[in-house]
Amino acid sequence: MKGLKEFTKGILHENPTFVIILGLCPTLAVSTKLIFALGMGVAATFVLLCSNVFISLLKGYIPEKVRIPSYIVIIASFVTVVDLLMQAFAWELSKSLGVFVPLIVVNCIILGRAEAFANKNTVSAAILDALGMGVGFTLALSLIALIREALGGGTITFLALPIPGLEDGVLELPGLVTSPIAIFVAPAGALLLIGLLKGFFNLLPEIKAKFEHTLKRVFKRTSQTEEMLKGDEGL
Amino acid sequence: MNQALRELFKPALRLFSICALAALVLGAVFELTKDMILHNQQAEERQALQRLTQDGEKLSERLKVMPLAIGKAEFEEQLLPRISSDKARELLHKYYLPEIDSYRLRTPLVVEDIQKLMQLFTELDFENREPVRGCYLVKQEQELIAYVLEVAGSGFGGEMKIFVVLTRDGKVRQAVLTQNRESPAQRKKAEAEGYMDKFIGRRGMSIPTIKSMLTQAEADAVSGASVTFMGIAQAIRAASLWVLAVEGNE
Repeated sequence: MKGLKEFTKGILHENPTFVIILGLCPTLAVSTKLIFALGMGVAATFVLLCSNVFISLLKGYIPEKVRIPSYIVIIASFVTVVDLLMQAFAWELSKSLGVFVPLIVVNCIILGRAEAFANKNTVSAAILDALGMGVGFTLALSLIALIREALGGGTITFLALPIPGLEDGVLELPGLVTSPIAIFVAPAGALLLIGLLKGFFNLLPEIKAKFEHTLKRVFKRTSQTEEMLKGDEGL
Repeated sequence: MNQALRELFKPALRLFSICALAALVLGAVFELTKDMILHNQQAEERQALQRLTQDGEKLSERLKVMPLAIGKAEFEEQLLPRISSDKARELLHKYYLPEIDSYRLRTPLVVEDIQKLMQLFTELDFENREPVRGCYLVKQEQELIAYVLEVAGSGFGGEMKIFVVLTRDGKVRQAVLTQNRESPAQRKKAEAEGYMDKFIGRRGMSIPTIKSMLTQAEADAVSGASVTFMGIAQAIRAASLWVLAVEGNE
């Protein structure tokens, strides 16, 4: 149960993009197409997972005085590994993401989780934290990219799939493809959208509380009615 | 060793061991991936070169280019001792004239000697540190009609590689951006259709390298990717100036 909580916190309650507001630079830059967002999300999750595992394993070995340079060395090494693997096996994606792959080194989420979580917890907890944060970051990035690409370009770019209309990986949205809302492609549109989504996430606890309250009232009324009915039957 | 020194050494040694392990891992991954990365880069370059040539034109192999100037020490201590043939040494002395601290290329060059000098520098595996790094000679019916120069430009994400086709009078015929690490938005602008039109037909110093040299529409089109534009433009201008110098149209 604790493990599940460790995993899910990164997706909702401590979502790095919408709640903690970390890693906004790549979010603004890469969220112009869904496929870029997915690529960046997977790459950042891999680096986050590997760095969390290593930092958790080495927490007793890394001296306090040099912990930040040590974390940076570990993170930068994994980023370089991802960069080389992408250039070798996913050339087009590597070209598309360009300078943002090396810049994962300075993604605040990764250094933030190393400092705030991995160096204080067990390896299994660090793995769950990394996966949760990684999935949360990927989902957030993908949601922003999906809205921006759909509204700003009138398309949704997936991987090329053997499905009619998706052979080239691009789904065109009728109406929007001919007259898109261009501001969503610009960084200003991304900020606007992130602000709106952040507002929605801020409202989530309130919506949840209202929903629970309404449910309780409905259950209370139902049980009162049942009791009344039982009373009537008794008479 | 006193306590203070030990406290300094211990973290330093541990940090060093982490760095050493990281270097080992990176070395292993590089060894595993380098051939595939090279293959991908070469495939992309081949595609770009195919787009740049017209019907009836033939491209030479990639040749290394002769620099417009070489440092005196490099010329005398590194380049000359590696040349075994007298003819090659003669060719080099014919075109490189000594100045105070360097050897400068004497231009214009005889057409036949352009290829000979390039072949010599290719054989010597000479890495030019000037923006123009490589050259493919474009020939039609055995006659040299243009150059495809491989030029390095400085972009937002580091060095960019640009192929520029130039006619022998230094005019830009076509250009294409290949290897680069620009951001997706900057890259999209630089790869957009018609992006290179602002350079085509121009030569030398008339090639725009700053936004004030562009029309309003052209300046708007590069807005938000100014560093990329300047990197590409300066590289294209360097390529044109190189051809003008070699061909003697300065």
